[in-house]
Amino acid sequence: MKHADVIVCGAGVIGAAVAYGLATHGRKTLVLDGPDTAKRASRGNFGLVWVHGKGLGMRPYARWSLASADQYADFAAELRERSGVDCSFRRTGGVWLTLGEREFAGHKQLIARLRAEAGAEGYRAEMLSRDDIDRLMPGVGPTVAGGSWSEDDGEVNPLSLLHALHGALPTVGAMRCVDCTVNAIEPASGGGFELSVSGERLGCEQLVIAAGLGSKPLAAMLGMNVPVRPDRGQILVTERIAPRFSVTSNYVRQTPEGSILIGATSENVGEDDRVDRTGLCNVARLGTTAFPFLKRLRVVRSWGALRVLTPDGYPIYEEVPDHPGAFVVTAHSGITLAAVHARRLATAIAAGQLPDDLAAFTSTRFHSDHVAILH
Amino acid sequence: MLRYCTEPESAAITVVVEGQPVPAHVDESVAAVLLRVFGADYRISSVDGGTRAPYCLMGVCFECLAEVDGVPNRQGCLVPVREGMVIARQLGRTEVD
Repeated sequence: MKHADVIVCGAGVIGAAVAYGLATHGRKTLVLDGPDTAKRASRGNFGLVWVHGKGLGMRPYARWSLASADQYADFAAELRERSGVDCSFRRTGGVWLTLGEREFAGHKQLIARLRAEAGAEGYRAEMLSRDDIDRLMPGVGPTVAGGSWSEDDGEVNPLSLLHALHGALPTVGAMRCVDCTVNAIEPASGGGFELSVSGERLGCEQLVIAAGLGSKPLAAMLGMNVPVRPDRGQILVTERIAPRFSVTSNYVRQTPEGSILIGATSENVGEDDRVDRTGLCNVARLGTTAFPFLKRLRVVRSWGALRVLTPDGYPIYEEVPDHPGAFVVTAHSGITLAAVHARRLATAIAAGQLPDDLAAFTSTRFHSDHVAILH
Repeated sequence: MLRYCTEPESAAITVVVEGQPVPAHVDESVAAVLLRVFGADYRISSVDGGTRAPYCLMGVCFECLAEVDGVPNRQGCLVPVREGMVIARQLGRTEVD
């Protein structure tokens, strides 16, 4: 039977980031990547490293997102050094666009409440008028009432990030196996775990379940309920044009190569990750309302992908009850959180214990005696 | 330099390539005309300023981009020529108003 110190189930940006981090601590790490048919949220992402406006009523999440964005440039440089792949991270600052006075007023209230929750820690965000936005992102439409701005936000090429992580894994001694299906997970008699993977037996001391929507059936093998569900997003990509936007925004951004990305729907349609006309029309309408000049650009590509959402949209980080050494890691914002997943979270898992400041992220918050917080 | 394999007796139409009249076959693509007139690396990338040639000629790679009748970023391999069509190479970045 093959044996590793840690087996990580899932090689998307979350599994790969955690595995990379574990291996930097000298843990002999094996990462199991799924078959081609796996739902791969990492490959459908919009590419924001986003901080502001997040985490109302969940201060640890706001802090955690900021910590990751603060470390991102350094983390991206580390990955580039190891893998030779530049993931094009740019901390451009981000504009949160709002359409209509009503949405703007609601958003202003959101930022004020987040600032109040941050208290003495401070909150880097300011409200913008329509004219302010037009200076940052020329060509904004008349329906845009205003928005907010924070220098904390940025963007990354999510496919390059995944490529960089996969390229960095072998440089720290971690191995990635592709086309794996985990058929069974059992606690081993002398501690640790035994897995049946595509007909082969594998053993490990520690286990990390970071398989996106697949985390639910995997954690169930150890008796834990991981309440994640798919939420479809559809994205449009235009032809390349000369640099126009030097900052990013919550649903329109220009890549360094010149394409403009417009996203995204949020649809509860089960595991169907295809695009459809209704969804793409809604995305096009949103984008061209915010920036009417987009009507004159041709769309070259579109795609759909499934977000991995918990009931409140926040991550789950938890040691599986009654199975010490097994951890569940799932989050909707695997791109934004990549740096802290690879560093802080992986360091904690390598040490065998999640720290107190991540205690807010256990799934016990979804139990009936807890009040649900809507993201 | 690229040339016709057969005599261009069916070059029944004329397109305008950067101001010059050029005979073309019916059903020939814009990319084929540009390849014939300028040689392989007729485009300049908007990303790194390097020269580019059509690669797949079947609509996938976007390396054959050209300006057709004033519209930039057309996939030259997917656009059949028409009588009087105005064609230009795309040298670098395109702006939008």
